[in-house]
Amino acid sequence: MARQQQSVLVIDDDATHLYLTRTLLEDDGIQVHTHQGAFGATQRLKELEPDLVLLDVNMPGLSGEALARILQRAQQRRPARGAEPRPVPIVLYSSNDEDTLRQSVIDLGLSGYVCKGDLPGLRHRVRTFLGASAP
Amino acid sequence: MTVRQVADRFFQEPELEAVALLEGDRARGLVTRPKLLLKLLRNFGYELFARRPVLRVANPEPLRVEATAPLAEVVERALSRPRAVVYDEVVVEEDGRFRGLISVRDLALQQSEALAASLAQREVATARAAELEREGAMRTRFLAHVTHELRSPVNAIIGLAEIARRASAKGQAEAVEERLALLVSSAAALRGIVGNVLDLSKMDAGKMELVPERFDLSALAAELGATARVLAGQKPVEVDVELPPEPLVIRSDPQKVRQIVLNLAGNAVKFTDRGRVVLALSRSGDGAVLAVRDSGIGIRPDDLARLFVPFRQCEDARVRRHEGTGLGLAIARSMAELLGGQLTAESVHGRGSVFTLTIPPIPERSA
Repeated sequence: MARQQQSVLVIDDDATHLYLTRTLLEDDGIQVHTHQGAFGATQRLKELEPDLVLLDVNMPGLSGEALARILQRAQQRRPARGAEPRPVPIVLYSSNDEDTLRQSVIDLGLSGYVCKGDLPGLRHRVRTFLGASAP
Repeated sequence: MTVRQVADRFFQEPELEAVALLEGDRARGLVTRPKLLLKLLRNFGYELFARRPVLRVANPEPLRVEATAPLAEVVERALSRPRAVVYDEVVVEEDGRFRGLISVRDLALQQSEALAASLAQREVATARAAELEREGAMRTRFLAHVTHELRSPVNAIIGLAEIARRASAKGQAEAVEERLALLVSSAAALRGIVGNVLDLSKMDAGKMELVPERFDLSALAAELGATARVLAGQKPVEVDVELPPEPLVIRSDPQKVRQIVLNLAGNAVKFTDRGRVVLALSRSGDGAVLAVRDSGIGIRPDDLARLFVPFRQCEDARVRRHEGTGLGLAIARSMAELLGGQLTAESVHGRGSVFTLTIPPIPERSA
């Protein structure tokens, strides 16, 4: 079965984290787009229509509203070629402690979280989400 | 005792309102001024009562209260009596023994004072509770940010180490080199943050100590100017150092002064994209003033007020305007105060900022 390469958009203000996340995921054969900072993230999301978003929550300039816009944009993704409309899963990707992340996931109604630094967790969850959203 | 004798006492002591009638140490009754005089003034009253025992004109059932009874309860009981006797004095007893009299008016006064005090107390208590809550919330936020600031470089180090290892396994020497360089810089950032957090908690606990010595502040300022030039890197920012004609030697803690000024100079360079940063040292009495001026983005008046609050950048948990931990200036100010000096900031938003550090000499410890 010919399968289109799946893509992940990583939104983070920290260039080091973007760089290493890209490297880690590309090693797994995943197409990775990165966007540094919150500004313009919405536009990027619209252009790329990725299969998964990894979103950092502690960025300069990322207000609650900016975050909400990103989320909204993800929810409104146009279905490709008449397929069922399906929101892009958004996974929080942060250095916050797990309790805080779990709470944020519940509060914001997101798909899940990955703790930065948990490399097996990153790999596993990204694969799970991409698998779950595969056509 | 006869009625006559008691009446004479009332005549002689205009302040006296009531007399308790005792038998042994027990109260038998209460004789009040208005009742006694009223009885004696009536027709035949004097004839009738003057020579009789005083018990005849006493109220044998006065209100008796225990000395330990709460004020509010006593006032309630005193005021719920029939109107005619409300203003009688109240007999205070302890285990049935007479202890004294108290007027209802005094009771009411005491109660109103107590109420006023408790209202004021309640206000104080409410304010204190609010303050504690604010402090608690701030500490929680502070802890969350410290946690995040510490974890972020640690996580970067873990990730970088892993991708460096992979590159090494594949024999990609260049990638290994690049990733190790990033790893070192993340580790250095972590070291800085750990240092800041430790400094802050040390100061919070009053454990930060001064190590005063005489040193050449002019030389230190020149050296920090050179460091700031390095920090400015490729940016078109000119870093100048203005020194007094004679070297300024002062007794203070050079390490603390260095840390404060390094923070100020670092900020000045960070927030100035083009223009000038000046470290200006001058004498002031027997002390010194070191001003760090920049032509950078400046500080909004709102932010100026919160500048020295730890993690002020993170007041709103989701919005951080700038990079950095937001601890540097809080530490710098505390350190300046520890040195006996002051650290103040002035700024015109969009035009630049001036941070002024005053450094008084630390006197030799004398016995």
